[in-house]
Amino acid sequence: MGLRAERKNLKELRQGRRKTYEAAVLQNYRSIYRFMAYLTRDTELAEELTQETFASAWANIDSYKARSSFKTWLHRIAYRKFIDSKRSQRREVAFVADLDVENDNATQASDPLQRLTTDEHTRLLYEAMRSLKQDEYIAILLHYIQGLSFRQVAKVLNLPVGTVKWQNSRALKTLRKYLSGRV
Amino acid sequence: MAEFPGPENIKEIFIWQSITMKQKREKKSKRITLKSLAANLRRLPEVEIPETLKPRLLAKIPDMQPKLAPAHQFRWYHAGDFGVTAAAVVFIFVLIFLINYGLYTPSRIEIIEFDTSLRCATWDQNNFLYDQNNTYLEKSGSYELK
Repeated sequence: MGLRAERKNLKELRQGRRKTYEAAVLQNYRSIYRFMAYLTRDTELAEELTQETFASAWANIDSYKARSSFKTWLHRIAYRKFIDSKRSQRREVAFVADLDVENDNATQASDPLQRLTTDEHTRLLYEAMRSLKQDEYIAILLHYIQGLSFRQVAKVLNLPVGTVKWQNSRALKTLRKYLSGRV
Repeated sequence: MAEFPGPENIKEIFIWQSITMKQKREKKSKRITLKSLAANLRRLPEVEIPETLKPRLLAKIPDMQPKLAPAHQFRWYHAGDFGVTAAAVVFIFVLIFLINYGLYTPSRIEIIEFDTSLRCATWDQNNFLYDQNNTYLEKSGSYELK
């Protein structure tokens, strides 16, 4: 997209023009859903959070100042939504501790990543990713799977670029260590 | 690793060497590099997108009106900002005035020797010399001050 067209799009987005926003949704919903699926590992929750992300983005479209790309901005909102949902989940878990086993079984069945483990190598890679710390997992996810640059990842996570690079390299080394004994 | 056959059987040594080299090559090819790991991560299969997601997302848009900023939003300015700006502007004008017209220095009256006679002369602010009749004395060379 040319610079002029991008500026025009941005202007229309900030004016709350529905058609432009619709195009932006169609362009980004797959990516945001994938991000949510990897984060939550639950199809329903990922779908719900994706909807919430786009609803929140539309409601606050005026606050988008184009300091980052629209995709980065959406990822930032999605990440915040995930953090919020995790917090509320923790509260719920405290109340419904007895249902833990049932929940675990349900979560495994609705894990969107379970369906992707077609071969042994992919399954091992997912398993290795699960062994990562949360910050490393998110950094790897945003950079390698979502295809964001280190600078964009830093903007999403509100961290310095150097920290993001370090997290990525540490995560790769952990993955290699995990896989080297198994592959 | 294959067992070393011993130094007496050269043929077996060659076979042993080729086996170990093959094993080493296989081991090296199995070693995971960070680059290959990154490539594998990029090649992970795509997550299946639910078919209902797209229509749901599009259906949700018209329900909500985006919050847009009012056309003429009133903004408060700090009075201090204006004060500092005004002071800076006044200072710049004073500076320009002083550069153009120079700083005032009071004239000095001195007795000097001019054309072999003593005269009471006045130096003005631009270092020009005038005698008592306010006649301009040409500034040439040095005048000895008494």
